[in-house]
Amino acid sequence: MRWLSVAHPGHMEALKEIIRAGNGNIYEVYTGGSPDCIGTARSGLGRTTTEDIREQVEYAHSHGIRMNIVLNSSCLGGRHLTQDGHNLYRWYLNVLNDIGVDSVTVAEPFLVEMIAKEFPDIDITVSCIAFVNSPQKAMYYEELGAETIALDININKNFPVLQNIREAVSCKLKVLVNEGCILDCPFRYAHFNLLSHANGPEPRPPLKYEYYQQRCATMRVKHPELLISSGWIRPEDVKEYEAIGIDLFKISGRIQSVNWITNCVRAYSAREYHGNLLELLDSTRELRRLFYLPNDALEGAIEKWKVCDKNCYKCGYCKRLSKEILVYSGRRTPNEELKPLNEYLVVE
Amino acid sequence: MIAEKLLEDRKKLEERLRRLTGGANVFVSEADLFAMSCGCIGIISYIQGMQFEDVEIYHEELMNIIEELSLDLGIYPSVSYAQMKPGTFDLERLQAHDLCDNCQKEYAGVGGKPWPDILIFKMDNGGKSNFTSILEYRSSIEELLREISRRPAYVMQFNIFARACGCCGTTAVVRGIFGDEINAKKDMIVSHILELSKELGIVPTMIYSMMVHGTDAVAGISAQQACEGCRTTYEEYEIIPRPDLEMLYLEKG
Repeated sequence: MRWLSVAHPGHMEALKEIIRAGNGNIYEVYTGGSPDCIGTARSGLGRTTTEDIREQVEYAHSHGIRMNIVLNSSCLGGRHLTQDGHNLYRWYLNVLNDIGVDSVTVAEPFLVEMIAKEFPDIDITVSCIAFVNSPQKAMYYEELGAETIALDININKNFPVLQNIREAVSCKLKVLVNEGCILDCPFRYAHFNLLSHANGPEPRPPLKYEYYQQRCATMRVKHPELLISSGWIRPEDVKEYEAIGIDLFKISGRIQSVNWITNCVRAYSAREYHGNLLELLDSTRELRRLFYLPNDALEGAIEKWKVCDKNCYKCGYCKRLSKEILVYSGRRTPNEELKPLNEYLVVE
Repeated sequence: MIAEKLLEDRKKLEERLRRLTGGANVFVSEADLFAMSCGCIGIISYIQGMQFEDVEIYHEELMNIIEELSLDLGIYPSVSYAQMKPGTFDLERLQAHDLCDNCQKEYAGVGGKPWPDILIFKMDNGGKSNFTSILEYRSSIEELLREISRRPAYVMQFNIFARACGCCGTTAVVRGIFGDEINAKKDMIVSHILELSKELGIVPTMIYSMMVHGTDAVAGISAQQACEGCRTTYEEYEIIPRPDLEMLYLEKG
């Protein structure tokens, strides 16, 4: 049974390594398309051409793996509702269809409906950036034509809602296992909109300073418990989600290095990991070089999260767990040390 | 002194790239020596006027140029590469790193393409650099910020920079510290940075913190030895270079 949906940076060398690491567990790989057409709400790196995608589709198919192209801008600037925009999207989807792309990930309801109607051979995944977080919203997208829904990461640890969604729809459900974003992040919508424009068609905003990224890193230094309460799923806890009917598990990290991605693929394939959990999380590299969050120390925490009412102000469980976090200092100097967090911060 | 050498090397690099490509438009806006929080050290040169195809054509020559530059500045490169501007075919940076163990793993293998937007010239083992004291400079600022903030604030990257205009200095890219905390211990920070600058051969005309736009979070702390042109602008017109800067120290000439 193939159950992993894996981030792919976009070049053939990466695809080969990822498939090798997947050990038969990879259901699909996903990568960005042309930023000149629709773009994505995540940073893009390379400039993957149609010919590159065609070759990679063939290679993936020869290994029984599906290819998904991510077109999940959270803001299309109204272009999709113009005749020119519609024509451009139709042309690009035709190109993807012709080269054998199996599915696309979109965040815009209009695109879900349009693709379902005009491109019946292309399966539709609703992006986690559509923030599907209730049975009602899931039903709405299923009716529009979704074959798969990637759920809002903010409900990853909310089992009653996950179960209700499972009961409400028959399409495949996918969860992101390793996104390191802050739970109920106040910047989430605005950040995705910014990135959608930065990684979409011209004109692109010149991003010299990235307010959201800088602010979010600062918040986690000030409140390290945010590293714990975030929506990630440990490799050991995947079985809990399978038990409630989640079909697919998405490994995020299109802008990470290939070896980083394959390390994640191996950890989730093995369903166990012993080391710094932050090494598996798709957040800024600087945080995993600053903090050490021992994955083994989190064993069993899922039982608490399964019944958690997400009232962090009253609960304090994740804050108490954060005392397990260690902090690096003086890397590669004679004074290099890994110190307990409470040497810097009082953790009650 | 290292800052002077960096200024000269930036200029030499620009001249060599212009000769190599026959293009008068090649511009090296800045050359930096850096130390990262992970333990990587290296050099970065910011390039304008070159394309991906130039990198392919002059692969061998660029590898040698970047290696010579790096060795001259005391960095033995365990990886050197060209980085494109994301989503384009424009060359953005030429870099050489002496990688930490974690990053060594990330860069290794994959047919020399750990990311699609970089083109690796060379991979080797790390740990042979001479200028490792840059890691201690980074760490010393980090410890100071942690002492001030009483939280695990960190210096993500410490740079020694040399710009095309002739300015040079240092920048600590920081996270987890706020403007009021910096201002409350301004003297302590300024004195630490002046001392550190002296060791690097930099005489700062100003030291300032850069704020995350519209907030009280600090994004960086810079010490700048301004070139004559920039100095005149700042002094004569009393211009603070950007609205997001908070001046901690200004030496008038």
